[in-house]
Amino acid sequence: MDRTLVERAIQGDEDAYAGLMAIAGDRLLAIAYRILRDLHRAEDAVEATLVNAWRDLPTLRDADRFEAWLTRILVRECYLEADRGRRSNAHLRALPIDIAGISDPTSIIVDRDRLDRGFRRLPTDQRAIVVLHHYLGWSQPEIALALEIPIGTVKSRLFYATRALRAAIEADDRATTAEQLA
Amino acid sequence: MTTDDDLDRQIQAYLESGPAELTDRVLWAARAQLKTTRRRRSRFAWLAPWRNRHMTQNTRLGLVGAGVLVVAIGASLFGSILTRPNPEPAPVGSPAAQVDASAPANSVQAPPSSGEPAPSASASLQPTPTPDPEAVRTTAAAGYLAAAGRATDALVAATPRGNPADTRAGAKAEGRRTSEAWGLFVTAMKQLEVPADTKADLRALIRKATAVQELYVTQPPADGTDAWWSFRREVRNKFGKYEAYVTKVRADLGLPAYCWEPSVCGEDGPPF
Repeated sequence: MDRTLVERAIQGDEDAYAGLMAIAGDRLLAIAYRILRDLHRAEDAVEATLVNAWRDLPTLRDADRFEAWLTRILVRECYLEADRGRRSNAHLRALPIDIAGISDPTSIIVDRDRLDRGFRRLPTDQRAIVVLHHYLGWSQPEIALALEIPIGTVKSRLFYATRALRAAIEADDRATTAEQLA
Repeated sequence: MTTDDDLDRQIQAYLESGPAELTDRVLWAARAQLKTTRRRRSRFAWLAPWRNRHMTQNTRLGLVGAGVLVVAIGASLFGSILTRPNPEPAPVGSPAAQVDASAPANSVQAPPSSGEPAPSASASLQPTPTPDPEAVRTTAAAGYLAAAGRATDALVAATPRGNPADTRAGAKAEGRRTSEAWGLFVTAMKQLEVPADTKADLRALIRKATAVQELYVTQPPADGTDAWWSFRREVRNKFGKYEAYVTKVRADLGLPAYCWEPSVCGEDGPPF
């Protein structure tokens, strides 16, 4: 991230901040989408992140930490967005979805589908850790530093998330084996 | 049994796919809000000016020098007071005796008389009047109606009516017009001042509205084919979800329910 742009943005230069938004936007959307698994919610989270970051930017002490700082704001917005989603889904009218032609028996799709089901069942805070660790490739101390949480919390969230994902895959495996035996 | 490495690889592969680019619409929407966003200031920043990275080295040295000078002057003044010989011997007696005995006791701390009003220190502590929730709701409802009204005709015109004779070019033009109308609608909705408990629902409504808008732009129907019917079904599906949100938001804002079936309510049903 361009340090000069960050410093100008801290001083209140809107054009500099617009440049930062353009640079960081794609990455923020990629992270938010992977946490929320919903494009429109991810876009909302990114928009709120960009506005809140502009509001809080004067409090950023170290311009070199801008990227991690922005990621922390995004993760918090994702938590809020996930909460909103849970509340508004209660008002959604369930509509039949035509899934004919979508099913694909290839193993790649099946594995992916199992993982997807398992991932969607994870709490948002565990999803965030999984995404930061496996998608961004951050180490556990890096995640702890960026999110300002104890490293023990990072470890336990990652442990429980991994265990839940493994259980999701293996439970499906067991179900398939049982069906074949029957 | 899945090994740790296998699982890690599967998770990484699962997380690989996703959107690659943030749409300009989101960037514009964020940019539009920057002007009206009040920036947070560090409350005690003035106490630590050295944390200002834009201070030049000379300014820093000057400030340090000034600080040293102030401390030196203060110390010398304090030292001169301490070392000054006392011109008069200290009087014998209690310190209370030094107070002017002729002054009435209540001249030091005169309590307010009972007839006078108490000092108005509490005036500044009185809570600022909160806006009437009903007034806020009414304003929000008016804004909602104005915003939604602009999109009504375009939405109705663009909903597929099952006419396979429509050409692809016509559908594209219709989609573009609808997109523009929905753009206005979404922008207006985002600017609404709404009660906090309605905000989440409005955001959901905007999201659905945007989804329907994108559907028209990205998937113009092919004339008279299966794809056209598939498109029509999808629009109906999306529109159904949108309808549910509109109903919820209108209820939250205290507006009468919208009549979705003109054949039942007649042409004079409540506005959108």
